[in-house]
Amino acid sequence: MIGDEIIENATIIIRDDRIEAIGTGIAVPVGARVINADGKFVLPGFMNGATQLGLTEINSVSGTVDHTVTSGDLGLAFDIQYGLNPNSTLIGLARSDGLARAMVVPGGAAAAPFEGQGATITLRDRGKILDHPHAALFARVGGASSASVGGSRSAQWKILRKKLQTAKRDIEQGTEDAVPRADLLDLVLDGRKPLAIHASRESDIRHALKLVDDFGIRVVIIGGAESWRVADEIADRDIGIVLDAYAGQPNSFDEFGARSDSAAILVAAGVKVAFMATSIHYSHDAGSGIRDAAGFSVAFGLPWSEAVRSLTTYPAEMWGVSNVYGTLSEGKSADITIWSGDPLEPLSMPEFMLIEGKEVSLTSRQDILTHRYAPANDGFRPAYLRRDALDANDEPKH
Amino acid sequence: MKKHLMAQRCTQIGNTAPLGGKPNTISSVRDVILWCCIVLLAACTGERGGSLGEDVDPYASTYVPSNQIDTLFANGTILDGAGNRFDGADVRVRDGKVVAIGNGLERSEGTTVIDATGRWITPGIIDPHSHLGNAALPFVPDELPVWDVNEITDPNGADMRAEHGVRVQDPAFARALAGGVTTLQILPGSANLFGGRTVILKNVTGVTVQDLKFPSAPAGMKMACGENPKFSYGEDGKAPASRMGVVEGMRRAWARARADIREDQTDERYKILRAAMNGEIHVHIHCYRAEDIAYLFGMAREFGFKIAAIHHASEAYKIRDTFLTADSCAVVWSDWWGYKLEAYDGIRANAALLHSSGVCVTLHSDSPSLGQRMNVELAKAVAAGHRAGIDIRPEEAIRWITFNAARVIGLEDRIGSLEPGKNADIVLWSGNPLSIYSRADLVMIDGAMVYDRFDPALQPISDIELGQPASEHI
Repeated sequence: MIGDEIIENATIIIRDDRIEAIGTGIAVPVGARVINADGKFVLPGFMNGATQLGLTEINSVSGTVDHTVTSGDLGLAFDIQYGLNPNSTLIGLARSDGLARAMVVPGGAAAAPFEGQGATITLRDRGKILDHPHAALFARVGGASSASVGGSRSAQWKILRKKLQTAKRDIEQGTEDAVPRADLLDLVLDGRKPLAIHASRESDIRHALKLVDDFGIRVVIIGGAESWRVADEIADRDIGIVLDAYAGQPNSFDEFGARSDSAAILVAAGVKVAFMATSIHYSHDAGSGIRDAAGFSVAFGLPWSEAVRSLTTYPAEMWGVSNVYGTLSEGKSADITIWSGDPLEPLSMPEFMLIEGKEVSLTSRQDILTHRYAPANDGFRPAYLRRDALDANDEPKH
Repeated sequence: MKKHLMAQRCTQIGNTAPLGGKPNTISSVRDVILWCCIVLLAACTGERGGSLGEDVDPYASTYVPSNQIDTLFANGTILDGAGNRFDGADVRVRDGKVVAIGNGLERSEGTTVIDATGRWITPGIIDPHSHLGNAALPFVPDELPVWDVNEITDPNGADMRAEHGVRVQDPAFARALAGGVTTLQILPGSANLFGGRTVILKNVTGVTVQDLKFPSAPAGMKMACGENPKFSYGEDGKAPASRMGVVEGMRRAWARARADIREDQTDERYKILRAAMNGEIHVHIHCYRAEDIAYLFGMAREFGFKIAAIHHASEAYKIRDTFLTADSCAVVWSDWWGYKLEAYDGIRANAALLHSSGVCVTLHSDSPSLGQRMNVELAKAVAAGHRAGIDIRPEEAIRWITFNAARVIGLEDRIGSLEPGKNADIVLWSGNPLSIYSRADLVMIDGAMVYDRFDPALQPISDIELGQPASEHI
C-alpha cells in the first residue's frame, strides 16, 4: 500500500529507519540488501488502538500488573510510562502477529471517572518501546464503572465536565502557574491531546459529543458499542472510535445496541475506526486480536481496504503518530510486514518484519515452548534447550 | 455384554419416545423406561437424561424438533466430520437424519433442494464447554441474583446441576447459532472441586431448559483443580487453600464414595461419584498445569473413573503420551493464555501438537464471544499448527469442533459427523469455514432449519432483546 492505494509489483527502498522511495519501476540501489516479496501482501506493521501491552504479564499476579492505581494523590497525573516493560513476553508475541505500534491505556487512577494518561509505543525488538507519554487522557463512564463515584453515571459526567471547566477557567485567568499541567488538561483543552472516553451506551456517547461542542476538544471513544446509532454526528465532529469488533452482543445493559457490523456502518458514515481486542485478547493477543477484529468486520460488510486503514492510518491519526507511521510512503518510518497471505485471515502469518528499518524477530516465547515440546524434539529431555534447533526454528514454516 | 445391550435398548427407547410431543403411548413408553431402569439400574440410568438411580427423571427433556424438511444440499464442499472431504457433493436429509452423502444424489420429489455451489457443508458445531444461560448476557457478574455459574458454598457440589441456572433467554444462544453451533454442554463453574452435573442442550429456542435439553444424553460431571478452587475457598481460610488441598479434597470424596458409608448412601453427591466409578458419568475436569493433569489421571486410575476430557488443558501439549494412555481428550482454546499463572505456558500450537500425536483434541469457547465464532477459533488453532510445521487439512481440523466434541460429551453415535443414520445437524457455510470471511448461511438441527442468515423469520431473538430501542436493528 502506498498511502491509501493498493498497488502491485511495487518496490520499496529503505534507508536507515525510513522509507526513501516507493513505487513501481524504482531502481534498486547498488549494494542494497534485497528482500523478495514477490506475490506477497506488504503492509505497514499494524497498530492496536487500545491495549495494556507492556503493563501486564500475568493478570492474576499483581506484581506484574502496572496499569491501575487505586490510591495515592497523583489523580489525573497518573501516567503509565514508567510501568512499561519492554521485556514482556506479550510484546514478542504481538510482534510475531504483525503488530508494530500501540496505544497503551491506563486501567484506572484514583480520580474517577478519569483513569490516567496513556502512551504510544513501538514494538522495537530490543530496548525502549515508549514513544510518547501523555499521548491522551483517559476517562470511563457507564453503568459498571459508576460505583467509583457513588453509583450514577450522571456524577461521572458532572465531575468530568467540572474538571474541564475549572481547568479552562484557570488557564484563561492565568491562575494556573505551572504549565504544562500535570493533569494534561491544558493540552486536552487546546486540542493537542485527545480525551479518550470508554463509553458504550448511546446516551453517554451523545454526552461525549457535547464535550466537543462545548469545549472544542478532541475526543476518542473506546468501546463505543452503540456509537453506530450516532454515526453521522460522530463523523461531523471527527471523533475516532476504537471498536471492540467482537462485541456484537449485549455484554452489559449499556450495550444492547451492540452489533457485528458497527465498523461497516461507522466507516460508511465517514468515521475513523481503530480496533482493540477485549477480554483475554486485550493485551495477551494484542496483535492477532485486532487482526481478527478487522477480518470479522469485513465479514460483516466493512470494505477490506477500510479494515486495513483501521489497523494502520486511522489509529495513527487518532493517537497523533501519523507524521511518522501509518502508510508506506516516502519519509515514513519503515514499519513493514510481509505476509504469507491475506493479513486479515487467521491462516496467514507474517514472514518478515521491519520496525524502523530493522529486521525484528518473529519468534515468541510461545514458539520456543512449542519447539521444546514439538515431535521433532522427541528424545530430548525438554529442560535442555538445543540452541541449534531453535535457531533453525526462527523461520516460520509453511 | 448383556448389560451393555440392554443399555442400548433403553437408549433406543429413549431416542424414539416422543417425550415432549403428544404421544398416545407416553405411559407405555415411560413404563418401558422404568422397567429398564429398575431391572438394570446401573446400565440404564446413565442413558436416560442423566437421572442416575432415580425412577423418574424430574427434569426430562421436552424437546421436540421443529419442522423437519426432507432436504438435499446439492453440490457443496463437504467436510463430513468423519475425516473426509467431498467436493461438489450432496447431502440428503430425511426425517431428521442424514441418509446419504455422495456426488449427484437423485433429486426426489418432495425434497427441498438447496444449492450449495461454492459453499461448504459441515456437521453442526458442538461446543463442549459453555456457560451460556448460567452467565447470561448482559453480564452482571457482581450481582448474585442473576449470576448462576458457581455454588461457592461447599467444595463438593457434585449434586449441583448446571441446568438449574440456565436462562434460555440468554441472547448468546442465538449468536452461537448464527455461528453454526448446534449443541452445547453447559458446565458449572470451576470454583468447586466437584462443580456438579453438566447439561447438554440443543441450540434451539424454548421457554424452559427442558425444551432445549438433548434427549437421553449421557450424564456429565464437572471437577476443577488448580487456582480457581484455591482462590474460591483459600482466601476465606477454608479448604482448599493449596494444590495439596485440592488433590486430597478430591481423593477424600472419592474414597468416601467408594467406602459406601451408610449415611452417605442417600447423599446425592456420593451417589453421583459412585455412578462415575461405574462408568455412567462423563467426568470433565478443568485443569491447566501438566503436573495437575497427571495427578488427576492417577486419581482416575486409583478410583476407577474415566476422565472424558481435561478442559482448558493449557499444558496438555507437555504430556501428550499421558492423554493417549488414558484415552482421554483435551478441550482447549486457540490462544487464551497468561491471564493467570497456571495459564502462562499456554501456547497456540497446543491443539496442533496434541493432534499430531494422535490425542483427541477439541476446541471450546467458555465465553459467549468465542462461542459465536468457533470456526475462527479453529482457523487460529490450525494456523498455529502451520507455524509449528504441522500440516492439518480442513477435513481433519473440522473434527476439533464436531466429532471429537461429540465424543467428549458421549454423543458421537448421534451427532458430530455427517453419516447415514446420524442426526441431521448441518451448517451451510458461505465459504471455507476456516476463513474469517465465511459465515453460516443456514443451520439445521435434526433436519429442521433453525437459522437462515438471509431470512429474518429464521433468526431467533431472545425475550430480553425484544422491544429494546437500542437493539431495534435486530
